[in-house]
Amino acid sequence: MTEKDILQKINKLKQISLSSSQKEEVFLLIQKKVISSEKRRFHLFSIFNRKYQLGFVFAFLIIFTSSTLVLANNSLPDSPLYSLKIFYQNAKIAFAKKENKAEVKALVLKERLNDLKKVNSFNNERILKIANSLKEDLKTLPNEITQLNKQKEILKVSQNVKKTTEKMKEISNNIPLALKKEINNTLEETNQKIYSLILETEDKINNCPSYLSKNLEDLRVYFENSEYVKNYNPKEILEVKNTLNEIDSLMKAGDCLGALEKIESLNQIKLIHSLRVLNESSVDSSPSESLDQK
Amino acid sequence: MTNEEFHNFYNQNIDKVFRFLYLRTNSFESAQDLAIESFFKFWLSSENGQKIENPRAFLFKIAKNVLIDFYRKKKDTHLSLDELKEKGFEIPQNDFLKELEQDEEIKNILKTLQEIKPIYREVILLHYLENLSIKEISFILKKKENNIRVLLHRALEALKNKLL
Repeated sequence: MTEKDILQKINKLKQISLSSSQKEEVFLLIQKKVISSEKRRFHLFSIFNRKYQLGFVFAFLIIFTSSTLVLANNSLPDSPLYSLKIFYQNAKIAFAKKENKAEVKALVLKERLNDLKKVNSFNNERILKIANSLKEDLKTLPNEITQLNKQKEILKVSQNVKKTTEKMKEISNNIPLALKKEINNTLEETNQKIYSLILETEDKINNCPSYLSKNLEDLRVYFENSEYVKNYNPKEILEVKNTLNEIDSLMKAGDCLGALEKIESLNQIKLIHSLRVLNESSVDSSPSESLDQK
Repeated sequence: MTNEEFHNFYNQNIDKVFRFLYLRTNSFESAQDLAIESFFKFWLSSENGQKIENPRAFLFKIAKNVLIDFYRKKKDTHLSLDELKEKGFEIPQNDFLKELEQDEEIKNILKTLQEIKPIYREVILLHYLENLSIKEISFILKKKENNIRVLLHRALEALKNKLL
């Protein structure tokens, strides 16, 4: 018997099949089974169905994160959740607009001081760390304000921050003695700096023309000195020229404060240039120094 | 898989799966029930997002597992079909089985297939009757493709010897 004969015999078994009505009947039974299982799955285990899993995971994460944030927001410095609150507050400061950053930071620091007021024991290391970082952050407030470009903005922000730090002084009077003195001193120091910043800015605004002429005179002296100018590269010279043109047009338009702000930015170019020159000269001199030392 | 795709897939494979199950259970009702179970499990797997590279081979693998479960459960039942017959129970038989029993040639080939090794029978039926590829059979039986080729060769030889 050849292989072909065997295969012909095997193919005879293909007669074993369902009639078309039986096939339809079987298909209906499968459909029935699928429908009943889907109903059961949807009612009892829909949470485990892959179709809904992503949605459930997403919803769970949102609920979990928001409830943790709410809990953290109401926590006090002696709670482990407080570090989450600090993280959230720092993120709020980091994402604040440049012109609002100092005000947001001041409000956050006020909130932290308020939280410290509610804590009974100050022996906890975590609390002392929070108090110390509060002091350090307070010291940075005046610098944050001076980062602003416009004088009117500086004045407005300084006044708002000062209001907040004044309120902080009231709060700090109610915190336990262990930290009261140090925080009060830092607050006093910060307030003084902000106050002098307010006075200085008000003075600049009120006596703008005389400030402007003084600054222009300083600029003239600086740029007439070939020792200073010789190290400027073409890019820096172009930047200085453009800024001087802008100052000129602002003065012609009678915008004294605008011109003063541009002079500030020119002063910054000068500062960056001097730092660059200093850096390059130290790099150039270092190999010879090391040789000398040898 | 959409409903339409599933229906097409069912129409293309129901005979093959039914035959596969019937030749291993010798019961029309059991083969029908197991075919329903196999397609149902296939639908669930595709609905659950399981990646199915070869749907036909995957369906046969399901059918094979369903069959194993069927025999496992059957082991637990205390009464065999013969015992049921002895006790006077009527065992339903489909018309087409009666026709098949009258076909001497089919009876003969079925009898010969029963006489060779089960694994030989398996590869012969899957390859020559259901036209499954070596790759598909290796997936269903969890054996290497080369192994399946050797088994097929030996199975044909064994069948030839029995049919002589």
